[in-house]
Order: sequence, then C-alpha cells, then structure tokens
Amino acid sequence: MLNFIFQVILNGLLLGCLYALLGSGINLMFGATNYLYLAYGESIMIAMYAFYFLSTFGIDIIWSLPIVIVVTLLLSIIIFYIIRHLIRAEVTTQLVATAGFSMLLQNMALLLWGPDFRGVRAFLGSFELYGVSISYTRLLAAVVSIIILLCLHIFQIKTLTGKAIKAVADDREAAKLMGIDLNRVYLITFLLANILGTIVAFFLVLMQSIHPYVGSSLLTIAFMVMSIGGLGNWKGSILGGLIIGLVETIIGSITMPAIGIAFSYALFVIIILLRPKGLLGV
Amino acid sequence: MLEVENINVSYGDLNCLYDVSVTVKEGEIVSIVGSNGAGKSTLLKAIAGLVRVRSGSIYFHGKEIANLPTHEIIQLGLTLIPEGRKLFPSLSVIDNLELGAFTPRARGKKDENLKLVFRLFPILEQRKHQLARTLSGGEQQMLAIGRALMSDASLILLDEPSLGLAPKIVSTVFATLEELNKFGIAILLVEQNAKKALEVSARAYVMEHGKIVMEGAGKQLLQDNRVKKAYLGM
Repeated sequence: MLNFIFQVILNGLLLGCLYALLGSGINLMFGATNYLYLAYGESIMIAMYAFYFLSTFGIDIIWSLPIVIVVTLLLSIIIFYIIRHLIRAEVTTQLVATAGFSMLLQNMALLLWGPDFRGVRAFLGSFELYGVSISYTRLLAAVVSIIILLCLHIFQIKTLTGKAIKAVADDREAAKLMGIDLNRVYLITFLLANILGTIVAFFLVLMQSIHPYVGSSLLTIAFMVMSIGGLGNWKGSILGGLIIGLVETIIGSITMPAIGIAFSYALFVIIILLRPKGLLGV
Repeated sequence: MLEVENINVSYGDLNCLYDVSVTVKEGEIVSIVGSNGAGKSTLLKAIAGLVRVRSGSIYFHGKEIANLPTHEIIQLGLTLIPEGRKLFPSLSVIDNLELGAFTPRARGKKDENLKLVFRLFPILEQRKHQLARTLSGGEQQMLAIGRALMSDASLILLDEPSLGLAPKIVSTVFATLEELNKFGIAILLVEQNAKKALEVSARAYVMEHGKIVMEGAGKQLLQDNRVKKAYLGM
C-alpha cells in the first residue's frame, strides 16, 4: 500500500515537471505579448507527428530532436509572420482568429495523416528503487524540464534580451522608449515558446499516443498550469505543473484516468475562483 | 537640433494638434506650458513616435523622424521620460538603468553613464538591487531621469516631472534638470507647474486647445499678463 502511494506521488511529480515546462512556454509568450495564441497545442501536435514520421524512417528519436527543432523554428517563423498583426488586435479578435487557426491546423492534420492514433515505440525501460518503479523516460522528462526551466529563468534575469522581455511584459510603451523593437521581442518569445513546445512533444511521443486532436487537451493543461501559478511567474509555472500533475495522477490511479483529468479541471476552477491571479500572482 | 514643423495629430476623428511648430536648439531648455488636455503630452508622444503624425514634419539633427518606429527614433539620441515615469516595476533599479542603455548607440557608453547617474543620484546606487516598485515617488522620478541619461540622449523630452511629488522634491528635480543642461543635454519640458518651468527655460511655448498660442523667452512669459492670469494664478 505504502509503495503504491509513493509510486503514485512520484509519477505525479514527474509528470508535473513536464507540465510545468508546457505551461512556461505559453506563460513566456503571453507574459511578454499579452497574446492568447490558442494554436500553441497544434504546434506541439505537429512536432509530435514530425517525431513519429522520422521514427518510421528508422531515425533514432534522439537524433530526430535537432531536426524537429529546426523544422519547428522554420514553421514558427512563417506562422509568426502570418499572424503577426493579430498581436495588436483586441482580445476577442485574437481568441476567434487563433481558435480558428487551431481548428485549421487540426483539420489539416486530419486530412493529411488521418484520424488514427499513432505511437513511437522507444522503450527506455525502468528501474526499481525501494520498491518503487521509476520509468527512465519520465525521469528524463522531469530532469530535462527542470533544467530548461532554470536556464529560462537565468536567461530572463541575466541577459539583456531576457530583461527586455520582462520589460515588455511590465510596460510596452516604456519598453519602446528604451529603444526595444517590440516586434523582435514578440518573435523571440514566440520562437522560444515553440521550441519549449517541441521539447515537450519529444517526451510526450514516448508517453502517449499521437492524433490530430492531441493539441487541444495540451493547450488546456498549459493554460491551467499558467493560470494556477500566476501569469509571468516561472515559479508559478512549476507549482501549477506539479499541482496538475499530482492531482491528475493520484485521483486517476485510485479511480480511473479520465476522472483524474476531470478532477484537475475542477481544482483549477476552484483555485481561480479563490485566487483569480493565481497562487503566486501579484 | 529639433524642428517640429506644422504637425497635425488626431486620435480617431478627434483632432489633437493643429499646425504645431516647435524648435529646440542644441543645449537649450524649452518648455511648453498650458492647461490639462491642451495637447502637450500628445506633442511629446508624436515626436517620440508613440502616436502617428497625420501631416507635417519633424526633424532631429536634420533627419526626418515623423512616424518612424519609436525604437529607431530612440537610437538617434532622443528620449522621452513619460508622464507617470513608467518604470519597470518588477525589475531592479540597476536593471531599469541597464535597459535605459539598450540601444547599440548607448551600450558602449554604459559604464560611463552609469557612473554619472550614480554621482547625480547617490540614493540609486544604494538601492540598486531593490525593485523599482519599492522606491518612493521622488526616487522613482530620479530613476526615470537616470534611465533616460543611460540612453546617452542629446535631447530629453520630459512629461510632467513634478506630477505627484512633494514641493521640496519638485525643486530638487528642477535643480537636476538645470545640472543636466550644463552637460549640454537639451530638454523639452512639458509641465503644469508653469512657474517652475518658465524659470528654468530659455524659451517657452504656451499651448491651448492643440495650438501654440504664444512663444517667447521664459523670463518674458513669466511677466506676461495673460500667462500670469491663466497659468500662474496671479
């Protein structure tokens, strides 16, 4: 019994770290640009398909990571220039337009690749520690997520570009007066968010199946993680990720997975009702 | 160094500036006085590229800058300290100053300018690791001026520097402006505290309902009966 409890909590924490990374991508972009990009999940979905197709050519998944990152970068630059003018539009326009764009991408995926669930077979196996079984994939996902989150934080507090991103999040007009080109900051945060999304996709293809609608549930999780923790707050993203990961795994293990997910949605609603700015929001 | 020639600015259907012309020469302090809503802030924003100019020209060091993107204008050595200071509240004092030197033009002179800022405002050096939002109103205004100095600008546009400050601190701010001017920095000042502004200015403009209605030497406008009545409360 005790083993089961430890097992569930550990799985929850490991999943939570990956969710934290998922949330921080959208948090970075939303913080700097105030831009609700609802097709973020579809970017991850496309990256997941890219990993899948490369694996069908027999390319080892590790080697496909740099290839997919380059593809993501190129695609993101094209998408950025298509949707760029939406950043200055009103929130309702952004919502409708990017929701539409997300549906377009979903249906393109459906048309091109069909409705089948696909998966990448790459088992790294697991090891046992004090009777708790730990999957190498999940452990690696958690460790890499935490390292990337730390790097992202250091980038934001130490480099001039990082500070410029924070400045834009604080006050756009003042940032312009410093000589900061807002379009460049928008592009940089958009690309960074999409690269983070690609890394999330890399681990997700090892853990779950790929289908055209996988993006919408990922987007929901990303928004929950961001909102629970507090907008623009990297510690908040970690906290939000761990909360969602733990609740989903614990409740899901004692009942069934779908109920675990429903519970995390319910908890999200309660937290937002009690703390509209998130747990660590100011 | 700055020539604003017959500019017109409108927000939507509302006209805000009508044929406004203003010049600032090298190393001069020029002020624009006028009541609330006369269009003074709009004029500064138009020069800095924050609002669109519908017609007319703006030359800075002989280069046309009307409707250039703000970051390109800043790079030429002109900066605006906006009304309400607009610091970056979640960043530290030193980060705010560092962002002041964001442009390639200013980056090379960062250390030199930082020394100057800390010499002018020793309190900022003491508080350099504090978040900007924790500073008092007077300190925030000093930081705003310091951040502008970091940009290595030859012309500073300054919008309502005395707003919300205690009278004693207002005097300090104006003394600072005169000191900056001694380094050869030109200042275009918009201020509701007309008396203080006219006292430090070589020349001044009076603005009403989006038009320049009077111009002259600061001291001369201080003596003008209409100015006295309308803006100095005498």
